[in-house]
Amino acid sequence: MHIPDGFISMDVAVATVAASAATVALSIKKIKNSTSENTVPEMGIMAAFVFAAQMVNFPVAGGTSGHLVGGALLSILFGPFRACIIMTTILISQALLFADGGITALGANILNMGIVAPFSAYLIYKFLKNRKLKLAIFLASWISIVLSAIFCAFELALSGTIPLKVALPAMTSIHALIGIGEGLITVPLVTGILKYHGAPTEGIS
Amino acid sequence: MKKVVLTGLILTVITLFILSPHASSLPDGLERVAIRYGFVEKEKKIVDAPFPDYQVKVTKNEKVSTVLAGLIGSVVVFTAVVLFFKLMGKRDETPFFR
Repeated sequence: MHIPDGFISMDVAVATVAASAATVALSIKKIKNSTSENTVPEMGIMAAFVFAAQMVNFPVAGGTSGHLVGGALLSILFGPFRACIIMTTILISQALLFADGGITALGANILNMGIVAPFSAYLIYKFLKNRKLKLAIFLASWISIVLSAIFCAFELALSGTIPLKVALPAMTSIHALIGIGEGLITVPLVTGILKYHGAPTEGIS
Repeated sequence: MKKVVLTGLILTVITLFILSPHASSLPDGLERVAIRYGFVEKEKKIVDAPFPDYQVKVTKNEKVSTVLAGLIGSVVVFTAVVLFFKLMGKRDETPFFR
């Protein structure tokens, strides 16, 4: 779902940079002096894993592929504010080193995959985890992808790239499928890690 | 802590060395929509990234190139995240009564 340069207008670029910068700044404020020393290498290695997993596109339907975004995974493991910072780090690295996602689209990509994805996933997970853990993780993952795609559709439409009535159903339907993959990958990873960790390492804050 | 780091390391190594060379090259969700609705040609390159499309220039073997690019990215991301959170300071875990 990485938006390349050229798909979004300057107005949308500026607005999404502002929104993302504000949220990242808030996240930094929230996590200052609040992370256990033991969690730092865990976050580093899981960030490396999410980066690597984002390279692995899996085919879905109709000649289309998708890949793990990882916003839900990181958010459930480390809390949404840390997840936001980790995802932002990954997205900046991808744009600068690998031309994956445009420089002018960085704000939009951070908003979609680094903010909307982890925060929406966290809310769903928190709300449902005590009823059915696996379902909570799956839904959190699925919704994180679908909601990111909806944000992406709005950004494209506001940029005048494609009308909203076309973008919204097209982006939502394909990402409803890709989101299933996100869920199928995230559920065993989270449950596996929770099994010997007891609780999400830094779940709340 | 060690268990999560070890699990993460194993997952990353498997993903990089075994899975990434076999990634699907089909267009992703957004690209598919862009192709179908005719705005894919709006894509433009404004900066030259050192490893475009996850390829390094040292080898012509595409699979090896992908693994190397992935390795570089993983190391960069790991280092950046660890350094950043170290800079952000750790939680004060001194017991209240001592």
